[in-house]
Formats: sequence, C-alpha cells, structure tokens
Amino acid sequence: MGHGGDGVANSQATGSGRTELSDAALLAAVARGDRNAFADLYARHAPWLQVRLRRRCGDPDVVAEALQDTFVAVWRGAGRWGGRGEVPAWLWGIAVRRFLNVVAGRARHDVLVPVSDPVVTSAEDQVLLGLEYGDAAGALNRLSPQLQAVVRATVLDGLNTREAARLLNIPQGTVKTRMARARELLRQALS
Amino acid sequence: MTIWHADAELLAAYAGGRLDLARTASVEQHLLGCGVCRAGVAAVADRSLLDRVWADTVDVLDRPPVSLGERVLTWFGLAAPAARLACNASTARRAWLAASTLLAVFALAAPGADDRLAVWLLVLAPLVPMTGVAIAYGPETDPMHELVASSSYPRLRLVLLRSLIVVPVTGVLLLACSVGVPGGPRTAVLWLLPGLALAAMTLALEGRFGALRPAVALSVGWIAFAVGARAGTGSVLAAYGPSVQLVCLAALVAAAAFAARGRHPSRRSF
Repeated sequence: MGHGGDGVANSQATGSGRTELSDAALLAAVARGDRNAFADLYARHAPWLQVRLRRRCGDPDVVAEALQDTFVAVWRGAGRWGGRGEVPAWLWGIAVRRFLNVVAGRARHDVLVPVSDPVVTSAEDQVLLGLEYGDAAGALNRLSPQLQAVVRATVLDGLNTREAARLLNIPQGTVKTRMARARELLRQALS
Repeated sequence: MTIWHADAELLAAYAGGRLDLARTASVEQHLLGCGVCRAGVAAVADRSLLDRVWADTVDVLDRPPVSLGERVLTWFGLAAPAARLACNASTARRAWLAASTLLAVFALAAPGADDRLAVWLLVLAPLVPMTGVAIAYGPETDPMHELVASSSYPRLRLVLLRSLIVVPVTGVLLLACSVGVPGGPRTAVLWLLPGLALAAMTLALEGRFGALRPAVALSVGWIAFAVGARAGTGSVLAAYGPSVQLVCLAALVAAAAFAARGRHPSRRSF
C-alpha cells in the first residue's frame, strides 16, 4: 500500500498545500473519493483520536481496530457529514461508537478510568480549569471511579444510556442510577 | 477571551493518563475546538500504531466489497474467510444461475400453453441442483481451485457450504416452475428427490472423477431415462413414479454417506 503510506508521509513532511484546506473541504473531497484528501484527513486527525482512544482502553490492538473502523467508516460515510457542527466532534462521535463496537465484541474488557491523583499543573491551566469548571472540577474528581466512568461515557463521550451500558458492561438501569447519583453529588458541591 | 493552548507538558500528562477526570475532560473539550493543540498532541501519539492502522485501513478500502451471500452466511455465524470461499462466484456459476432463471422465466411465461415445454421442464429441472453442485467445486470452473486444493480447509465442508447457496436458489426455481407445469406444486415436489439424488451422486463421484464427468454422465443417463419413460408410457411423469422416488431416496442416502466417508482419507484405519 505504498500509495497510502506516501500520502501520509507527504502531508506530514511537506504540508503539501492541501493541509491548509479546512476540515470541511477535506471531508468534501473525501466524499468525492479523493484518496489524497483522505490521507491528509488521517494525518491531521488520527493522532489525537488515537491518543483519546488510548485514554479509554489500554489495549493497543483495540485502539488500532477502533481507529481503523473509524476511518473506514469516514471514507464510506464522508458524504453523510452534513456540514452541521464541527468535524472533530463528528469524528469523535464515530470513533467512540466504533470503539464501543470493538470492545463490546470482546468477551472481557477493562475500560480505563481516570486516575484520582492530579499532577501539579501551571497557573494558566488552573485558571482555565477554574473558568470552565469552577468548584465542579473538585467535585468531579471526588466522584467514585464507577460514577466517573459513567459521567465520562455519557457527558464527555456523548454516548446514550444504552451505549454507555454496553461500554461499561453494566445494565442500563445502573447507568441511570449512577448518573442520577453523580448529578446529585455535583449539585450538592455547587450549591 | 484569550487564546490558550495546552503546553507540551500538559498534553504529555494527558496522553500518559496522569490527569484526573476534570483535567482530562478539560483537555479533551479543548482539543475538539483547537487545531493547534490537536496538532500538538500528535507529538505524543504512537506513530508506529498510526502507520499500521493506515496501512490496514487502505487495505480494507482496496478489498473487493463483501457480497450479499457472504454477508448472509457471516450473519449465520460463518467465519468471513469461509463465507468468501463458499460464495466465490465464478463466471460458470453465474451462467448456471442465468440458465436456471431463464428456465423459470420460460415456465412462468407460458403456463401450460405448450405440452412440449412442460416435457422439457420435467426432463431438465432435476438436473439443475446437480449442475449447481458440480459447478460449486471443480477445477474446470473454479478460479480458486488451486488455492482451495492446497489449503487445509475440508473439501466436503466447502462443497456443502457451496451447496447451501445452490439449494435455496434451486428451491425458489422449482417453486417458480411449478406454477407453469401441469400438476402444479405437486410436480415440483416430485423433482426434488431426483434432483437431490443426482446432486449427491455427483458429490460422491467428484473425488475420483472430478465434478464435470459424473455430472455429464448422470445428465445423459437421466435424460435417456426420462425420454424412455415418455416413449414407453406416453407421459414424462412416469419418470417420477413412486418406485423412482424410492430409488432416488436410497441413492441420495448412499451417495451422501459415500461422499462423507470418501473425503476423510485421514480417518481411515490403515
């Protein structure tokens, strides 16, 4: 598959002019069957998708399979992006569901949960976090790992109850009760 | 609002899983809206994994599309490579399918209009499943024959798999034909046993003679028998009498047993 490899290498090494195109323009070209545009889209978005998926699952094979399924789906479904919303969010929406399919297809899986001890970050980061979350940040971090996993699956990853249940391998009712509990704890912390 | 970018340290901590949920959430939300930081995170991505996934993705896109038959078989729980082997449609098989369909169309187009047409149908219909099976596996028609012969995939299983495709098609064909012949659906049922018996005998003989020669010999034999029956009794339906059905049933069972045994030389006791 030398063609594909070259495509990635080119867009990475030289920027080839194409990489200046907007995500929407790249996606439109992909929808027309432009393999070079697809290579550029991959070079631009696969890395952060890989890192974000890696935060969901420690098994590199699962990450690789999900990433591959994602871009196969993007190639075949690029025309279905209607120009609504942002391309990265659209891509993540596909990636997290492909990831869900890969993970749910395996007999046993462990979903990574965020660590509980934070690293010291710069003052700027603290400001940013303070702006975005206020006291919610601390409350969020104080949630139990189980509640955090549900919050992340539903709020951060945008999965619905059924999908979150499949991902976390728990009944849908449990997702709902844990989500309600998390919401209650956060509300208490903010009032 | 000031333009803020995550520094390399924060992105590395994020990629390394050293951030709590609030910071992880913060970084991830920021990444969705910030191309600069998305590019920054690429520095900590697994490059070899990305290259591998790209190669595999292109590989998948260049692969021929999965046919409907394969999808049905996979849906029934068959492994994808087996489904591909089972479905691999040679041009000969397409010709068989076209001929079968043509036969059905003829039967539908002239329902009972011409007695001679009915005779032809009654003579030829039992040959359809056998032809399908013969074509399903054989060096004469199968472009994948070399590959299959050198693989460890059990041949009987492969032939049965391919017959899985042949039999439903034949069933539909028989049903369609039955509308057009005197006697209605009952006649179509009559075809079933002789048709299956001929197919099974082809399978049994395939191991020794190849698929084509037994199929041709059995076709000639059947046509001669049907024509003889018509000459003797005045009706080609005589070729479907109860005794014939019984003989066909016996032949079907015997041939199936022989085919199953003969294809497992490794299981023989010497």
